[in-house]
Amino acid sequence: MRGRVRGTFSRSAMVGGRVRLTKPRGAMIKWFKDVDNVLRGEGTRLENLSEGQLATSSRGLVGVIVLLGAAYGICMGSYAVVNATAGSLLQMLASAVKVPALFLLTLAVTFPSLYVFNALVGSRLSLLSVLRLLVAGMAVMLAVLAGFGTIVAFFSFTTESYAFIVLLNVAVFAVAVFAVAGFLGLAFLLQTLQRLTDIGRPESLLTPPPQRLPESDPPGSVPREHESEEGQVVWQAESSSPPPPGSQPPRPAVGIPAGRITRAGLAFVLRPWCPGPAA
Amino acid sequence: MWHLAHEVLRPRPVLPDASAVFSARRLGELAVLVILAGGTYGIVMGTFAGFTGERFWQLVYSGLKVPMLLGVTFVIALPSFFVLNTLLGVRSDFGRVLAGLIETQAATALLLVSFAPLTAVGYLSINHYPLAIVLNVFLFAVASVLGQVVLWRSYRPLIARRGVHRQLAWTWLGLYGFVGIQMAWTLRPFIGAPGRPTRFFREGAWGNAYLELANIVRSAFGV
Repeated sequence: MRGRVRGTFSRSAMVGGRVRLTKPRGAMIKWFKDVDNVLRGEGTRLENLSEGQLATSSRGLVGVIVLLGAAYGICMGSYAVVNATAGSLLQMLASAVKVPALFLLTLAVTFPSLYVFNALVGSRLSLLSVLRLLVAGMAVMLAVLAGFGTIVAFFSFTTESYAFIVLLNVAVFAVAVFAVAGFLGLAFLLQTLQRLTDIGRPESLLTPPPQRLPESDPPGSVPREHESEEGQVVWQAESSSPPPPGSQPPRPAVGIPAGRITRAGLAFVLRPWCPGPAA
Repeated sequence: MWHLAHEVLRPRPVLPDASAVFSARRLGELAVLVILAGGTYGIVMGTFAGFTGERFWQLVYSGLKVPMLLGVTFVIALPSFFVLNTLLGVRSDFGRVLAGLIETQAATALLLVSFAPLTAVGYLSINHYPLAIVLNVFLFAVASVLGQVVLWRSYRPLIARRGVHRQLAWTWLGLYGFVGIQMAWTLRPFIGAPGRPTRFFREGAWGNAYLELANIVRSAFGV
């Protein structure tokens, strides 16, 4: 089941650096299935990771990131249309372009440093694996944002106050949803990075010990590989001989703050997101 | 329909099978129940300023608006909730969750229709429009709070299996409340002020409930 979802592009269709879809509709469905797999944690199951790669198609995920980002951008930009701002339709289109651009440009800017930091702290992930992981994390964020898109659109349609919409988008969605989406997405990212780092350790044996978690699952947790009768079992890397203190590989969290700061900076550069009546 | 209403309101001893609960036919029946029950309350709600002549349309509008308030709010809040459920690894339970959420809507509508006689008698003894608003807000609040009995009843077995469902249930209440308050503000007037023309949407009153609330608080403190 967890066979890797193959590339959705036909190689023969890649001519002159331009990619043409062979079956757009079927490809689109596969892309969304990919995102669904990532959201459900299916794409990051342990047996797939033990093969050293994520069972997702990065190209497909990038396609969905663009679509979901554009959907959220349209919801965001609908304020300008509803309130009949001059050039409002163009603004909505601009927002639809800018949201995916915000995420993909952030990826482009921060990817080299994240990879170097990961290598420095002892992660054995390949360049491609780190890229796939970041794209998967980003797909999670965009899926959450697009999920909240209906609420943003509803408020954009019914509210005249520009200040409120800015507050809703910037404060509520930047602080709440972006934070929730970012937190969940990054928690997922860290968890997978940890798993991959553990797999990279030659002495590690991955077994499911019957360890109980606290009452609730941590946010961002993915479905368990195996569940005990209580359904509360976690995977843990176990060494055959306990490693000496301090020999644990550090969490590859370096680079995440860099991504956040860069995204905030890019968000500022790319504004306006939903221009006011005077814009 | 009567049987379905009883089924929604009465506690069930065992967790029903998701496929039995989440069938298209049952969903359709529950939607019809929400439309009928909510619509009936809406009609009674719109009788404050009379029900003859132009005022008849207020009954029609209110009869449409109450099911709209419940249904459209539900549809707007659902996508984000679905993504959160998927992300937190409980997508396999979503059929049961959805059935529970729709039953909660139906229970709220049934509670409202059970309050319809109270509203009608209340209108007979109330001559003051703001007091009619207070009465309806109070009854809506009671119906919403009591409707949670059905929500938590359907969530209890899910929470017993996966603790994260508790946080998700609260998240749903937050999302639904946030959208629902604005929806109620957008769809007003539900009652129809005496002396004002009957309209589906109040003219020039397209606005934001939270800003109005902030203005009320600000003026209360004289800022």
